[in-house]
Amino acid sequence: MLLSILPRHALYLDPGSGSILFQVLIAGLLAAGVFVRTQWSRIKGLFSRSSKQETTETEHDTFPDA
Amino acid sequence: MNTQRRHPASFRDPSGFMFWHAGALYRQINQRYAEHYEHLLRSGLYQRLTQEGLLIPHQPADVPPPAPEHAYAVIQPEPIALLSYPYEWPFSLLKDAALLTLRIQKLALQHQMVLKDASAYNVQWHQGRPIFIDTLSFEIYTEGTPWVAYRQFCQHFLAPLALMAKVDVRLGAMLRTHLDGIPLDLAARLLPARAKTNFGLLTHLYFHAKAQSKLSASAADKTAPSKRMGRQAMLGLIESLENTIRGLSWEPGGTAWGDYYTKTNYTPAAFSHKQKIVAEWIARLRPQVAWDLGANDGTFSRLAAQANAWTLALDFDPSAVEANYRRVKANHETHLLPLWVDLTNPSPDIGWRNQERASLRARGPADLLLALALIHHLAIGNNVPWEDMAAFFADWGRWLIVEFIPKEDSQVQRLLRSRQDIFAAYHQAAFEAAFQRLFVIHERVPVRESQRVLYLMERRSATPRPL
Repeated sequence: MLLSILPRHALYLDPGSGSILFQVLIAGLLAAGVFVRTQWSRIKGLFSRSSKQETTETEHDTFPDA
Repeated sequence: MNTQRRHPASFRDPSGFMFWHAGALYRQINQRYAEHYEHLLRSGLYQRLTQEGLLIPHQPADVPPPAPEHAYAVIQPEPIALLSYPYEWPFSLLKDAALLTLRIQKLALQHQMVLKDASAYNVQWHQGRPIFIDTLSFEIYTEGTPWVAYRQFCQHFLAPLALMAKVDVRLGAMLRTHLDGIPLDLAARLLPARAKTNFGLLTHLYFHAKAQSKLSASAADKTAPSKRMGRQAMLGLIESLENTIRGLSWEPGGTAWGDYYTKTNYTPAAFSHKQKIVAEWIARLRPQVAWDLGANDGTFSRLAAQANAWTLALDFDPSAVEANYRRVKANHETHLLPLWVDLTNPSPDIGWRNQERASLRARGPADLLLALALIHHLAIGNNVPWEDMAAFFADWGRWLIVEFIPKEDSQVQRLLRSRQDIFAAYHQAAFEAAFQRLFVIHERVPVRESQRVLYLMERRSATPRPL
């Protein structure tokens, strides 16, 4: 039954039923976190002039400044 | 084909495997992975990741596949100079590897793909930065599915980093016994109660560990099928992990030998003389690979790295290794990798069939070994006789720059302070006699204003690498 929510492709890794269910259970909370963050940056965007360039994923280098 | 040999660590994923052919390393991609491989290339994800130096680049290779009945393609990845493992990494390298993995997962999602595994062994040190080496880890994303590598990520990265940051950095050594990462329930038991005040650890480690034991497969039958995990939730999960990892930090403290160069009996003239001799010898030898044994902060390793030798700086003090790594990062050094290694117990061959993760010895030998301010630790700290020490060096490298430190030296006296002096053979004549059996002594230079002597030795050509 658990397999029904996993990707359709063959998995070679045992994802762990507990780990999978745990993710699904906290999914709402995690999605809410993203929603709040994006709304917040949108609100901030309304009040700030775009004087400095918006940080894109490219500019954010994991290394060496991680 | 008998010139081809499968890599012993490459057997779990049916998508393909690594193999050697005529001395070079290749990857066979199996037909079952073809769809994902093509998506990786066509979606622009491969270009994005390789341009940013996050994924190892590869070329199509005109080499016969070892298992043609399954083969879709053969590729040749850019070679890695030397494999290193998470249990050898400084704290910050493990952290950087974790953040690299999450960044790749985010970029993959933008291209309708996900990482199907999140093993720390998929990250290697390459040209001065951590890089993802498993081209076959990417899978087409099915909307609504959870991240199958979540558990593995938490075991391989989150748990060890949390233990190192919150308990003791030396717990990183647990990765040597737990090759698939540290079980979350074990990490939860070892962490102090105050770690629960960290929201990320509370969620991804404590609650996650509880969920693993409470949410059994039978419970899954009731709850699972009704729920799906959307893309926003997946992004939330990744960002939450990212924030948690970023929040884990460890500062190298005062170390046993951290103040070595300032507190030793070296005068500035002696120290610069020692540097000058070592640098001259390195310039003459032009080694491609140098291993600095007992490297401390890497001062002498850098002499080799600056001469373009691919250099390992090995030390058993995690603070020294961490400080050295931070210097490598800050200076964008490309030829130096500091690793946490105890020379009296170097990384063994471990994993499946004892072949999955190679011993440090098997990753050698080096062209040049530096053994500076080291021999008293081995001879007196670990009771190693000269003959054994010479055999060890002869086993690990061809050229040897070794510093003899007499018994009168304050550093040797410091080691002898709390124990009986059973080291009658600890003198220069016995040292030379033992080493001359396996090495030719090319030069010996007393270090100015000190009692120490530097030797340039070469393993006797007739001496095969001892087993």
